[in-house]
Amino acid sequence: MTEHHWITGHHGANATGLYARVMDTLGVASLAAHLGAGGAVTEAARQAFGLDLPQEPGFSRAPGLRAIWAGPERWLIVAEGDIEAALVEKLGARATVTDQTDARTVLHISGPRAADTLAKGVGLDLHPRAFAPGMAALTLAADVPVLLWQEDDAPTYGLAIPRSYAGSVASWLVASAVEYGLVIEPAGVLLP
Amino acid sequence: MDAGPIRVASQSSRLATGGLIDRSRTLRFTFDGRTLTGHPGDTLASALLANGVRLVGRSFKYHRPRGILATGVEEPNALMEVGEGARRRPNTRATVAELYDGLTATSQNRFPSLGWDILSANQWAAPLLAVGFYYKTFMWPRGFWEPVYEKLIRRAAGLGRASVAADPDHYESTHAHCDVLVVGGGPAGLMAARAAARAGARVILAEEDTLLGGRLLYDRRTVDGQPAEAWAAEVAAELAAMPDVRVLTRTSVFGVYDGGTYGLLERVADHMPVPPRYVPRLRSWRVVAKRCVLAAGAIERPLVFGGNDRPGVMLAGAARAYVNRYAVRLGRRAVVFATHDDAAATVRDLADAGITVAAIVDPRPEASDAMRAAADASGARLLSGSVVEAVAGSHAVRGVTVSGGVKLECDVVAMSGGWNPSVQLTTHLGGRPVWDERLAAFVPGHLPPGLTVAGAGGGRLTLADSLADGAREGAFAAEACGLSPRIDNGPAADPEPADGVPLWRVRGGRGKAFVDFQNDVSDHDIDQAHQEGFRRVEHLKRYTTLGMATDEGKTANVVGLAMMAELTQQSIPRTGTTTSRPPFAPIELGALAGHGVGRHMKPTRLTPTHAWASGRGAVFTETGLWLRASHYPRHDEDWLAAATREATAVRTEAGFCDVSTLGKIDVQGPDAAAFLDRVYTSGWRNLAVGRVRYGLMLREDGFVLDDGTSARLGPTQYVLTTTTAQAVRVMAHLEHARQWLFRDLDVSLTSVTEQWAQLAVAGPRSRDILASVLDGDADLPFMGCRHLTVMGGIKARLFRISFSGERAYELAVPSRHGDALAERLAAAGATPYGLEALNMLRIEKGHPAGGELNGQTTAHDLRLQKLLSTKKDFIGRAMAARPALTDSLRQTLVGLRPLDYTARFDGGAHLLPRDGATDAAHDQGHVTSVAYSPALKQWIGLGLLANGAARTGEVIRIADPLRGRELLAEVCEPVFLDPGGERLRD
Repeated sequence: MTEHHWITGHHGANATGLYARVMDTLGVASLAAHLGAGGAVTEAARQAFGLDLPQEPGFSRAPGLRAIWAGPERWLIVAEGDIEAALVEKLGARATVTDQTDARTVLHISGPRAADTLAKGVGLDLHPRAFAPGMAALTLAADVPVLLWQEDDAPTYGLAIPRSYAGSVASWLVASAVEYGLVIEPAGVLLP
Repeated sequence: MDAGPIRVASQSSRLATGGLIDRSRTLRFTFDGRTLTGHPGDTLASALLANGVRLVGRSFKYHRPRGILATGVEEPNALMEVGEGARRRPNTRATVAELYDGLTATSQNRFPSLGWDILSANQWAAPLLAVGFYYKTFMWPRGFWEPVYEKLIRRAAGLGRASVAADPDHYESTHAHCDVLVVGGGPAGLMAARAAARAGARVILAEEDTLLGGRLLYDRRTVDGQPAEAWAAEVAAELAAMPDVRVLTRTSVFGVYDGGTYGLLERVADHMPVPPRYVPRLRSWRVVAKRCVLAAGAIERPLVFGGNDRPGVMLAGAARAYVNRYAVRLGRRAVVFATHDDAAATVRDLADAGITVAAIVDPRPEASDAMRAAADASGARLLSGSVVEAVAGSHAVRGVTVSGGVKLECDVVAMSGGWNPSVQLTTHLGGRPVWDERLAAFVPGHLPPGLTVAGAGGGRLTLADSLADGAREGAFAAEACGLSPRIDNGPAADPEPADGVPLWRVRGGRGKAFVDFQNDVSDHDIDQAHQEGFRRVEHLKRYTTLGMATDEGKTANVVGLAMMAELTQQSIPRTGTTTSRPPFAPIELGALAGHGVGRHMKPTRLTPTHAWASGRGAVFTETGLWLRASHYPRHDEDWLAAATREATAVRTEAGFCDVSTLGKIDVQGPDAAAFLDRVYTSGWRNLAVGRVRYGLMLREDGFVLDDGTSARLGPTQYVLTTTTAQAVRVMAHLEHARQWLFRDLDVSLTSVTEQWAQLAVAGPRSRDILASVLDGDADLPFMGCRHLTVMGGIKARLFRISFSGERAYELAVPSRHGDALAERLAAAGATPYGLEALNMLRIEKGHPAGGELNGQTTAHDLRLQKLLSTKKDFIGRAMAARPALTDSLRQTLVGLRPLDYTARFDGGAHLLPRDGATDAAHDQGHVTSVAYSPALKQWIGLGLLANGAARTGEVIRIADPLRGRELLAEVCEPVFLDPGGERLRD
């Protein structure tokens, strides 16, 4: 079988069903409220960042900032640039902040065949009636534990992959998308 | 090689008009080397028939000449190798293989040729090859079974040859979800899909064929006042235009699984010589459906009479299908032998196509209206109360003898014993079909949750019933999904007769009468199974191999079962039922694996220094999912030479090794110390900020779970490390403790394994090497830790800990800097070392690792009992105190040094007393880890030995029967080097 590599440019069939890019300028941190401090942390985050921390599976956003539910009173914060220091400063009294910037490779994938491509390794129902912008899930992609969320109804999906697995996921993604044609875009476009 | 008895002109048997074939294009193909032609729309089977080819294969056991029996997946005879080279696919059913230009087909199981097959002599030796012949004929001498008999049988009873070349094609597996899955695109399936889709349901319609329509494509019927195939095309077009409908043609549903999960196989590119670039050959679908409408149709039953397998004998429904859909002139003169009025349509269609129907042979004593009308219209003789007793012709039918010795000349025999609903999928979750006396067939019994049956598959055999059923079940399925369908009865269809009585076998005929064509099971085999007491259906099946071929007895099982019921004079339900397991039809494993083959079978984890190590020529080894550097060979070094050099460098100079794969968990919060105190066996409350401690974790049952160091980086911040192997399990164990056992503790756990590239820098010069990358100094006491920056402001964590026994540090930087850090350390003069050297160094120091932390060892076994605190509670404490876990005779950790300094041994070898037998009774333990020790210049090992701690100095025997090695070794303390630990400290 053909091996596929993550190289910027067009791959596969003569069409573009999928656009993919590594979001390598993002800062990622996990945020865990101290015991019983979930409400206070939520309130503090709203005041400091204008961000509504989701209280159930899903994510919320503020400009350049995403908060993805990762467990009870626990979130993964994805932001443009370094976020750890700001989180510690604003929320550190009531929550534990752990830098995960280097622990996760974040991909954005979009395009008319994005859901069909993901279906080749993700067991979730991504039909608009079942999964929509604002939703997030901890799931498996090509047998790798990932955090998956939907940014918009282009549709654009975000995928936070443990760094050591990124090559495996990328290989699967390219192999799965060549049927539709895909463009791997240069890394480093800012979060809308 | 001559392939057939008669040379034929191309498409000599094609009707001048009609059929769903595209006559504007001609496709060339070969069969056994002979070039033939066909048209788009043909299957390989229809194209062969259109070329007058009747003999298509040899049977499994007797090598009897066989022709095409059916039109679909139930075909037991026409199995061929299709394709060439790496794409040669054995056992392909010609009836479902679509014709394409350049197709090459080769008949199977014959030598030297299809027309003249030496092993056809087997049929004269049939008494020797009777049922159970494996067990009887080849009993003696016993020793001959495996080396001689089995090989002979396998060679003789061949199926096709699989290609042994690497598969050049790509396969895919994917997921899909829907409200309603409709299985089958015949009249019931089309109606069900349309009714559900019109109600707004998300629908997946799966159809094996290339076109939707099912039997509507084979039969000349009228639906809603239109020709049936036009009506089907109209519904297909409507479905195709609906956004939430996915129509999968060339797709079979092969299994029903728990939770509304269905397995589908889509033949994406099997109808092409080579899949287009980027297109998978096959795609498996894992569909999760809220509801399923099974509209799988029915399969016609053959009749069991002497010579019923001769080429030219085929199912009556198939006969008219070849005429109607594929415009094949099946022969000149046909005899229709049927117990069911449905065959009247065959009489009509054959006659309309210009094939003389010599006679209708109907075992029923009274002629039915339908048969009488068919006889009148076609001019056929109607022989009621008659059966076919014998068939003349070997490679092709030449005529039949019917009751009373009447001989009829013919070259086609169309037979029908009635129809069996395709109930297979309803039995996949354990449901058993039930016998319907009126239909004389099994119909679905207890259904899988969420699944309903429509149409012929449910025993509603007429077209009008199928359409109405489909409309109703599709609507109900949509309703069950919370939608509001419009209920209607479906369109009108022309009426049809549907009466019949079963005839399970023709007694008193001549010649072999087959029940299971693919496995060559005859009526006499069933008799014999009965005589020998194999009367229950499960025994019958296993003794005779009835239904155990790759067609799973789709045409055979019910007939065989009914014959046994006649013999035992019991009812059919009492004799048994026919159930099936997935897959419904053979599927290729590649389609299930999809992308997950070769090195993609499981994900691969790469370390943060992987790119650097690759560039440096490292050899990698798999440890779990991780790919780690095993050694860094220079020039022509083998692994041992490289690892010895690397380990020596650590002992004498300095080396570095990527240890990022060890689990790292940040334990943070006001109660972090209290938490560690409860999960580790030793006390943690008094660990000062900036200090590191070694700890042991037990499972709840008292056995050792894992070991590692934890460092206090700040007042409420600890980082705990685990072994590579146990990282995931330890995280789960700790989360269980936090979320459930110790809910009162204010602590959070975050895996940071992926965040940090952690490199061990070890050796007498390690401090100097480190100084070259640290922004500040490297001052740190043994077992100290701190935050700092490296390489110009990169945040880092430094730990002074040692696994090698040398002065050593572990330096962690954010993962993206792993490669750069490795490059800087190498440039500063440190030798990179891999897993092999790491292992040598740790075995020399007697540190337990995977072989010793094997889930069956206790702290006592590992001689770490001093780490079990008596002043506090911890997970596993009570259970670890059980007498059996502290028994001094348990196997405990020892060092092992062969007396012969040159001797080599391996992990897994057994430990025995010096004298005595090498047997299980004398087994006292095993070798857990072995390495060559550069420091001791000999192979050394660790082992678990009964009462080992008390046996230092004793000479024991290491026996390795598997590798044929035995040697004497001295038991020693597990720490081989620097037991006082002087080298670690300043």
